[in-house]
Amino acid sequence: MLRKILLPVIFAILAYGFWISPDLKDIAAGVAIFLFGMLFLEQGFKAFTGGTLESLLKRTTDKLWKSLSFGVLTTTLMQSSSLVSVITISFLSAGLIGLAAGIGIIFGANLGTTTGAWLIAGFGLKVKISAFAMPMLVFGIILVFQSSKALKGTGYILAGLGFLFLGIHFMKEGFEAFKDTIDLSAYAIPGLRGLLIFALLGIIATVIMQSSHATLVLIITALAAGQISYENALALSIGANVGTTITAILGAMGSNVEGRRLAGAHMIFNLVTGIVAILLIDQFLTTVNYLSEKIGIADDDYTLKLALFHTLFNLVGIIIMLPFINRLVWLLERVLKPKKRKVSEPRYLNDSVLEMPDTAIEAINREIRHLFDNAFDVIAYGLNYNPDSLRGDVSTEELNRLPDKVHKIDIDALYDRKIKFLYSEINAFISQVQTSTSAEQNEELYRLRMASRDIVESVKAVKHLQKNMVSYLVSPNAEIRDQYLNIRAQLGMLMHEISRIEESEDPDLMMLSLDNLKVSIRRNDVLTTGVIDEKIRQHLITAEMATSLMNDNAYAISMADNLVEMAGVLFLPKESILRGEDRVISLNERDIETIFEDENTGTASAKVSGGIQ
Amino acid sequence: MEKLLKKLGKILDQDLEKQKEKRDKLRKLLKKLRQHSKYLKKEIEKTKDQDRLGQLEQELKILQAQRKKAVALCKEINCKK
Repeated sequence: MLRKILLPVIFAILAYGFWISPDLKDIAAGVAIFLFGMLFLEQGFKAFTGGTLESLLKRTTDKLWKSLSFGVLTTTLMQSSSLVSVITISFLSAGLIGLAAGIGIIFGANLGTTTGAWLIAGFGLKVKISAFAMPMLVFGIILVFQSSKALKGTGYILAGLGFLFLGIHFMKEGFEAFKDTIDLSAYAIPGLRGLLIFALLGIIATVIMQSSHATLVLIITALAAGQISYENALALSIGANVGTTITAILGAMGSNVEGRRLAGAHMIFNLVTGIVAILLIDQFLTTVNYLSEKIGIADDDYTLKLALFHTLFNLVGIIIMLPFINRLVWLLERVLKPKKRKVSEPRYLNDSVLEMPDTAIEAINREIRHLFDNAFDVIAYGLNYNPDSLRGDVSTEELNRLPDKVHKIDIDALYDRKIKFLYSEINAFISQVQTSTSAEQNEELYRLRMASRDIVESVKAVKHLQKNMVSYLVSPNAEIRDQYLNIRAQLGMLMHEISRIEESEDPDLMMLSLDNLKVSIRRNDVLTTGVIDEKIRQHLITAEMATSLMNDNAYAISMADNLVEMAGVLFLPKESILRGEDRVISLNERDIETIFEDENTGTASAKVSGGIQ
Repeated sequence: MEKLLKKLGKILDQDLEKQKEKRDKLRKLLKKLRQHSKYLKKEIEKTKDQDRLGQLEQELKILQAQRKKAVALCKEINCKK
C-alpha cells in the first residue's frame, strides 16, 4: 500500500523540482547514474564471486577478528556494503557460516563502507573526475561484450566505476549551478532540532535510494558546494547510516530465519551507532577537529572532516557493540525463532541463496543430504533396523542377527511424509538455479539431481524388497531365511559405511571400499552365481521363493548401485579425484563381471589342476 | 621481469593448474592404494579364519582392479614423475 503511494509521490516531487529548477535535473541524473554505476559494479564483482570470495568467506568463520577484517576489506574493495550483506545472508541461509561470524562481517562492512566517503571527499571532489569516467566507460563497455567471464566482470567493474564518477561529476556540477538559483543553506537548522530533522532526512533519502553510498555522495557534493551546513551534513550522514539497514532488511525478506537475524543485527548496530553519534555529537566534533589537525586536514575542509566523522562514529559503534556480539546472537535467537518445520520441509533452500550460484549449489547439496537423512530412516526401518544404530558403531554380528520381531512398515506413508515434498522442492529449486549457472555448475547440478533421484529410487526399491523380506525373515525354511538375512545385512552394512564417509579420515579410500559391498551384494545374487537351479532341484527352496529371491536380489543390487553413486556426489569432498568425470577408478558393472569371470576361470583351472594331480 | 612473466603465464593458465592438481591427487591415491594393497597381502598371509580370508581376498581383488584403472588414468594424463 505504502509503496503504491510512495512512487507517485516521489515522481510528482521530482517532476515539480525539474519544472522549477533545471539544475535539479543534473543532480537527480547524477544520483541516477551513480546508482546505475553501483548496479554495474555489483554485477562485475558477482562475476568473481564464483569461488574466491566464497572460499575466503568460509575461512573467516573461526575468529571474530577475521570476520570483521573480511567485512572491512571486501567492502573497501568492492565499495558496496549491500553486496557484502547479500553474500553474507546467502551464506548464512545456506548454513555455511554461523550468525556470530555473519554479524562480525556486517560490522566490518559498516566500517569498510566509510572508505567511500574518503574516496569521494579526497579524490572525487579534488580532481576532474569526469576525465577518468569517459575512458573507463568506453573500455568497460567493450569488455562487457566479451564472452570470457573474467573480462565481462572486469568490464562491468570498469563501466560501473565510470558511471559512479560520471554521477559524482553531474551532482557536483548540479549543486554548483543550483547554488546560483536557490541557496539551500538558508534552510539550515541549527542545534538538536536540526540534528534530528536532518538525520531523519538522511534516513528517508537512503530508504528511497537504497544506497547509503549515493546519499553520502549527495551530502558531500552538497557540502562542497556550500548548499548544506557542516552540522546538518553530519546529521544527514548519521541518517544515511541508519537508513542503509533497509537494504539488508529487504535482502533478508526472502531468506530463512538466519538471514532475518542478521538483518536484525545490522539494524540494531546501525541504530545504536546512530543514537550514540547523536547523543555524543559534541564529543565527536571535538575529536574530529583534534584528529584533523593531527593528520593534516585543513580546518575548512569540511568534506574530509565529514569522512573522518563517518569513520569515527562507525568505529565507535563497533567498539561499543563488539563485546555484546554473543548477547546479540542470544537476543536475536530468542526473538526471531524459526517456525516449526515439517520433516520434509526444505532447510537450506530459499531465495537469498539464489543470488550466488555456488552458494545455491552448496545449499542444494546440503538439502539433498537432508533428503538422504530422511531416506536413511525409511530404508533402515524398511530393512528392520534401527536407523540410529546403523549410524553408530554397529558390528557385523548385530547386522547379521535376526530381529526379535519383524515389522512391516508402511513405506508409502513414510515416503509421503518424509520424502515426496522435499524431493519435489529440490527439483524445482535446481530448475530455478539452472537459469544463471555456468556449464561447469550445470554439470554439478545434474550430478546433484541424479543423486536425489538415486535416493528416491533406493526408497522405492526397499519398498518392493520389504514385501518378501518380512515374510521370509521369519520363514521356517532356513535356506531362504539366510538368503534374506544376507541381503539385509549387506544393505545395512552399506548404509552404515555411507554414513561414515563424511567423517572418515580418508573419504577416497572409504568410497572405493564401497565397491567391495557392491561386489558382495552381487555375489549373493543367486542368478549371477548360477546356484538357483541347484537349490530348486535339491528342494531347498520352492520355485516361488526362487522368483522372489531373483527379484529381490535385483532390487538390492540396484539399491547398492544407487546409494554408492549418490554417496560419491554428496559426501566426497569437492577436490576428490573420485568426483565427477574422474569416477572412472570406481568399479562399474563390467569390471565386477570381469572379477567374477576371473574367479570362475580360476576355480575351473584349479579343478582341472586338482584333477590332474 | 622474465620470471614475473612466466609466473603470470602460469597463473593465467588455469587448465594447466587443474591438470597438475589432478595428477597430484591421482599420484597420492595410487600411493594409498599401493599401501592398502600391501596391508591386505600381509593380512591374508596371517589370517587363518576362512571367512575372513575370503573377505580379504575379495577386497584385494577389487583393490587391484581399481589400481589397474587408476594406473590407466595416470598414463592417460601423464601423472608419473
